[in-house]
Amino acid sequence: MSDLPLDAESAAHQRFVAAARSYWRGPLFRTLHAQARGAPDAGRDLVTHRYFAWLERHLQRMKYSGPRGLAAIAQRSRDALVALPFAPPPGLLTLDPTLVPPAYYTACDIHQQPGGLLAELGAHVYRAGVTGGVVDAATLHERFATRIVGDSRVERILDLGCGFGRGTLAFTRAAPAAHVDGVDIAASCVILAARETPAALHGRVAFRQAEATTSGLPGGTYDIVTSTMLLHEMPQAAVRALIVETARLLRPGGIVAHLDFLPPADPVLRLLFEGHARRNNEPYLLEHSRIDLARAYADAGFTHVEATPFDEEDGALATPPRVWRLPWHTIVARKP
Amino acid sequence: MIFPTAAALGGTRGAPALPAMPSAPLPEQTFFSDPAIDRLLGVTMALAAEVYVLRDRLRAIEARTGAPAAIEPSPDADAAAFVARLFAPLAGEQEAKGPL
Ligand SMILES: C[S@@+](CC[C@H](N)C(=O)[O-])C[C@H]1O[C@@H](n2cnc3c(N)ncnc32)[C@H](O)[C@@H]1O
Repeated sequence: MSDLPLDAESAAHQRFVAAARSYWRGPLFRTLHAQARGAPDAGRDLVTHRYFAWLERHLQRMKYSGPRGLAAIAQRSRDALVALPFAPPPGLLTLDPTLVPPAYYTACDIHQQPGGLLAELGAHVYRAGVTGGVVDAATLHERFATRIVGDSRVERILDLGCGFGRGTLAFTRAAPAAHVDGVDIAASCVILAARETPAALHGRVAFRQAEATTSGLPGGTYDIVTSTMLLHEMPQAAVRALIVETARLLRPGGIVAHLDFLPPADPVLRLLFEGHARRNNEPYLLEHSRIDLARAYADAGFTHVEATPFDEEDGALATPPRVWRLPWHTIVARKP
Repeated sequence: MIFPTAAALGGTRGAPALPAMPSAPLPEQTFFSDPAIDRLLGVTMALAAEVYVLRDRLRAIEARTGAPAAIEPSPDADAAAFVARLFAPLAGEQEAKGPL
């Protein structure tokens, strides 16, 4: 589980929670899916559904909170995590200490992560939390980046809401000649991303602390503007502002490519997806599901808007699904 | 707790602290007809985690004393088996057939 130093009891606690989550999203999910098909209201009132919902909420709490949770573990090793000498080479990291995050961002501890990503060690906690979880199929970012880049010649890429740089670095590998910028509102994220950037990529990658809709980056510049798991964290008005900003940032002929979640059609999966929003502290996930993205992109002057189901690993789109998963989609549009 | 962000750079930049976030705790979410069930399940899960931590410590002591292992040697396999036994009742599935 990433780089957090663990005492023996915390390691055992985290192993228990990880095993419980595997059972929850595997065997328990499969049983629930079978019991719920044909049940009234997609199985909402089944006892198995209640246990499934409870476990989703509370296993996440047990992972992050309490004396053996990741937030406390990170805090205990704070000095070791932040005292490592780090002198980023010029251009790799730009912080904006004056940035005031929007109220929607600070109003809720997303994913039930205490303190969220704005806490000093937020990115370390986030990284430890997603490693091995439902948003950590080993190949997810690589698959996405290689599909989007394909064999086109790409010079400049921008990764919005880059977190600790998983997508940003995947794009540097998918487009070996490109310069890639990563932008995130959370200082802890861009700092960790810059720290993790291999020296061989210095000069080709730049991380910047900024709000995605007002990045201050030069317009008409990028061949690809991308994001992974950003849109659903923004309220509708912010997503619309982001679409307009993306149109400004792209060069003519450039594409925007998001990897995000759109609601599944299967009624049982839809029930679980809708429940996930509240249980995982995702205040804008359902609002995001209701945006007519094709319309919003067309209104901003984009063409060829396409949303396509995305298999984060082989067999991920099988029906019925083998494990509970988030309904990944690529959302791609072209600026004429 | 919010820290000055620049501290994470080893103090090489003098960034002021970000504005503190609202500190109100989250409202409780309940999933059962009686919230007492939700909370009791929380206690049960806390106990289960505690038992697992004890199993893990026991394995470490056994390994150190050379005692024959009473517990699966692979921690991940042991955790998976432990959790499967713990959660088996949740889905209400029965193994024995028959009426009544
Ligand atoms: C779920 S994380 C995904 C991180 C990364 N893209 C990945 O795939 O690992 C969402 C990220 O978006 C960032 N974010 C949310 N709203 C933002 C905004 N308005 N501007 C910039 N970044 C934002 C968060 O700080 C967080 O790092």
